[in-house]
Formats: sequence, C-alpha cells, structure tokens
Amino acid sequence: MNPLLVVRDVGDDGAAWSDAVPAWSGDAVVPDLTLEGATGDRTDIVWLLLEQMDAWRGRAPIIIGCGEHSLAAETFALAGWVGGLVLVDGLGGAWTTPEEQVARQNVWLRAKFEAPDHVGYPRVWLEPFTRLLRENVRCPVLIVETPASITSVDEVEKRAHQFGGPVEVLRIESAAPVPILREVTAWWDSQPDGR
Amino acid sequence: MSLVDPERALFIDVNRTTLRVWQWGDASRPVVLFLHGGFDHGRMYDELAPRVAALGYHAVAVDARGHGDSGRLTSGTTWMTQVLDFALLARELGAPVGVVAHSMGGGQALTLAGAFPELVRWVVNIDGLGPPAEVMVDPDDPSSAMSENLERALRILGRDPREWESVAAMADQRGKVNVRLPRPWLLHLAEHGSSRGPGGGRVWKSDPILTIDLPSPFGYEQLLAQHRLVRCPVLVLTGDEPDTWNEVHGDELLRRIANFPDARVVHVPGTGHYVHIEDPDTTMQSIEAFVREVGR
Repeated sequence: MNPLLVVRDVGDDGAAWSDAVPAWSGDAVVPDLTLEGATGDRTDIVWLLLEQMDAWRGRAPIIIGCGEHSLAAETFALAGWVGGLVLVDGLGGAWTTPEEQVARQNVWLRAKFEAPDHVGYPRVWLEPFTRLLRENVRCPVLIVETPASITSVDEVEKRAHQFGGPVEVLRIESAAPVPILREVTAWWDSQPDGR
Repeated sequence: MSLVDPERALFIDVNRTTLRVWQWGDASRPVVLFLHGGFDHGRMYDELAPRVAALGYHAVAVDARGHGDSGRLTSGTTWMTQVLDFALLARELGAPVGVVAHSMGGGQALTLAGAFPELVRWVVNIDGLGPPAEVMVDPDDPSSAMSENLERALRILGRDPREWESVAAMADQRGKVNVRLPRPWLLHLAEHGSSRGPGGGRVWKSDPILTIDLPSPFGYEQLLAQHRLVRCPVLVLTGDEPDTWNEVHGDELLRRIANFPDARVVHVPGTGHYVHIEDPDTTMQSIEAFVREVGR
C-alpha cells in the first residue's frame, strides 16, 4: 500500500489520528504540528512535511489534509508529489473579496497580537487562487465532507469540479479518523493505481 | 557616506523569536522604527537613523526575522509573521511609533499601519509600494513552479550555506545585483550582513528560505485594499533612475499614491531603489518637512 501522510486540522491534538493509522497497511505518519507539539528551527507546516514527502519520492504517497491544513496537502498535490489527495472538510468557507481578505488578515494579526500562541490561519478563501491551484491538481482526489464542514452543500459540488484530476465526493456522519480511514482505504483500492 | 555605529545593540524576544535591534538617541523620546528590505538588515540605517535621532527621536533599526542577527524564518507566511513581530516590538518600545521603511519593509510598514492604526503615527515609505502589477501574475505552469520551489527548499534546508572568502568578495557579488550602490556601502552591508562560517569563510546572515514561494492568495487587488486601510500620514520617497528592484513609476505610482487616504510623494532625482543611501541629505530634508507637517 502507498504510504500515508495525515495533516490533521488546526487545534486537533492528533491523538485520534495516531491511534487510527496503524490500521493502514503501509507506512503512515501523523506529524506533530507547529505550536501543538513539534517546535524547532523550521516549524512551518510545509517544511515539516517536506522531508517526509521527499523520503517517499517515487512511492506515490497519499496525503490527507484536514480542515484548515488542507492547503498544505493541496500544495504537495499541486507539485505532483502525491499519488492521491484526500480533503476532510477541507474545501473552505464562503469566497472572500480582496477587501474582505485584507480585513480578515488584519483580524487574524490582531488576534495573534493579543495571543501570539493563537493557532489557525486567516479565514480567507479566494476563488481565483483556489481555482488555479485545484485545476492543476491532477491526481485522484477524495473529498470527505462531514456535518462539521464549513462548506455549504451547494458549494461542495462546485468546488469538487475545480480539480484537474478524477474526484469523488463522500459524505459521512462522523469526522472521527477510524471511519474516514476506512473510506480512504476503500477509495484507494478502487483506483487504477491503488494497491 | 557618514556612518555612526549604534549607541546600543539589544536582543528583544517577541512572537517566539528574537529580534536584534540597533538604537540611537534618547530612549525616552518618541520612537521611530526603521525597517529594511529583503536580504538587508538594520545596519543599512547607520547613516539615516542617527540623523533622525538628532531631531529628537529614539531611532530603532531592527533586523527582521530571517535577517541579520535575528531569529531564522520558520514560516511560509513570512510577511505576516514579520509584521506581527514589528507590531509586538512597537508595543514593547512604546507605541505609537513613526516608521521609516525601505522596499519590502516599506510594504510591511503599510500592512502594520493598516492592521494596527493605534501603533503607527506615520510612515515614510522608501520605494516600497509593492512590485509592478505585471509581475504579480500567476506562473504559466503552477504545478512545475511549485515542484521547483519544493526542490529548492529541500536543497536550502539540507545544505550548509555557501562560504565566501572575504567580505570584499561578498560586496562584489552584491554589487552585481545592486549596481547603483557605492562600493563603501556594499562593503558595509556585506560586513554587517555576514558572519563567520563553520569553514572559516563568511556566510550571508539572511535566511535563504526567504527565496521560496508557497501558494498565497495575494495579488494586486489585495495590495490596493491594504493600502486603502492606512489612515496615518504617509510620505513616499522614490528615485527616478532605473535600478534593480526599482518598484513603481509614472501613472501607476500616482494611482497608488491616490489610493491612500493621506499620502504624498517626493521624487528624489538621481537615485534608484536605495533612495536614502544614494541621497541621504534630500531624504532627511523630506523627512524633516514631513514630520513638521504631520507632527511627531
């Protein structure tokens, strides 16, 4: 089985994913994230994942991006470094205008100013940026939507069509890692390049 | 060229990093923060900052995160992280502050003023209104561009920095990029922008990870929206000579100036991107006139 890298959501302690991934029949890593365990000289989420992705070059890893960390997973998919991309509640919120984007970035800056260890990112989703990124993602994509998603039902279908690769959308009732991982396994098994 | 060593050199911890600050003048006076551009450092203000201090200010030049003696970069969100560093530093030093800022630092000063109007009294922006609109475009092949960026990041993170045989050799290299900078300035910037490497040579202090681009939803429209939020007085200083990293000119410059609620521009003839280094006297006269107009 292809190796699996899970980029868990902001604020999630990762324990549930760490408990779940031994069920994956291949190598699997759930890294600690900045301000939530791992610290050090290079703690940006992408740098944190980079060496692992490099070590798995040629093995077509599957990357799962959850919630606000979906962009990190999509970054590697955009670069063509993954065999499959899974987004769990990762399609984003309502599109923002440039004015809204700057205003929300300022809100985020002020929140960090008051509490520098505050985690999370500005609540920004810019349609042209997202479209350009996703239309250049050409690997198979599984979109997992749970009741906790911030993406409206109408938007899920539209955004699924943004991707350049084959896409499946799956709605499940639980955001718990065990059932999600079960679905990911079934989805990957059904892919021409799976197993 | 008349340089004055800082009167005090401190390290200040903010935002999970350590910033090097260089100070001139009475620490009880109103603070003016000096922000440098990309790959530069606070000692680029060794001429301007003491002259501003002599006007009755506490002049504080900072090495931005990833530059000079300050902490390394940790993030692909470098811009916002550095702005947050400056906001916290301004609070630590005694806000509201005036800000004199060049190039990338000029843009960050405007982000700072827009997000934290209570922290910034005024901004002097030296050729830092952002790149021309035509360079803020998406790559033709985003997938290949991203892969190349990640490959480059791996090389940077995994290797020892290049060592140069001498400060003079580093100045030579810098002079090939910043062709208008006088030789004594190239030597000054190279001397303070480098340190002894593990092999006995010299290495640049600026963090090479600064050259890596990660996907970011920021472009021309966002830049203008950010500028529109800057309510404090802004003085823009620009040169009129072609130069490396020379930013915006002509009608586009006027459009950007008009986009601010309260901005004025001074064209400093015979200068390029480093207006304050090439013509410190006109720069100082412009700053003096500006602070007379808008108040301390």
